[in-house]
Amino acid sequence: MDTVSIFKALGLNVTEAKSSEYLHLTVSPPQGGPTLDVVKPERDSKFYVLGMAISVHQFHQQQLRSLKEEDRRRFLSKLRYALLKMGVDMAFTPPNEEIPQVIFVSRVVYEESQRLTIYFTPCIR
Amino acid sequence: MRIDFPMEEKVREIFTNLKMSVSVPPQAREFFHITVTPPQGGPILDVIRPTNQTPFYILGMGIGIHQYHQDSLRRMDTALRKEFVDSIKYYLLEMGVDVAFLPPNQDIPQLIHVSKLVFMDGLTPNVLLDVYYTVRNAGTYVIMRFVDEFGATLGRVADTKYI
Repeated sequence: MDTVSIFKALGLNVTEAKSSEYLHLTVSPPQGGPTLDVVKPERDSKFYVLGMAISVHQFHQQQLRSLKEEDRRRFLSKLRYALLKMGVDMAFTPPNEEIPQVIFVSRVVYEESQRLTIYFTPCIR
Repeated sequence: MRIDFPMEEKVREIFTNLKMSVSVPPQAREFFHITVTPPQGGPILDVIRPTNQTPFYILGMGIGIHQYHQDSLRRMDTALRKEFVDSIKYYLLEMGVDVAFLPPNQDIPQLIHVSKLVFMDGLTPNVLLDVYYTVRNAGTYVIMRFVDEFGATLGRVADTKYI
């Protein structure tokens, strides 16, 4: 099954985004909701990057700004720890700033699901 | 060390395909031992197969606790320090990694080692990648907890050491 069909089979909307990558799809549920980017950087890349960019709403940025510095740090740290537990890559932009404008989460998956050859078995048996 | 075993060559390729840099630490004594780093720098992971009879790989990350952070821990109230260190431990367990605080049974860790085993039998690239993410994120969590609690240190925050 090719990449587009996988998401279509799930009833998701798939559109091809204009970009410099070999393949760049945006995938979203038909009733609206989170938009995921699925990117294969180059033709011979053996992996996809699944990513989602969450831009923090101006109102929420203001709310963050109005928090006490300590509380704001604690809030953002908790968010980071939870994302780490979820097993994703993450980037807060702009980096090293107190108020994030965009939070980007992503995950790399390999295209091939073939098992690595096992040349060695004696002690497994 | 030359790697001329097909399985090990595949493992190495899984990381180099993702543009990560892979090298063999000079002090390595194991049958197979590589270190894996993201292209832009960052967490250093070890992938180890101790002997050619071992049916699994160990993916591990050692976080050397900066002297400044050790001193900060020492200055903490005993109960608070225990709470801080324990909370890191519990969260790491939830993340599904093996954890070692070294030296053992001490209030102030000098090195926190997180790791996870993955069996070679039936191993696929995505399974290996899952384990990589788990260990890397667990190690990153440790670094973040210390930086969030005591502030960043000048120079390197943490140093991956060979165990």
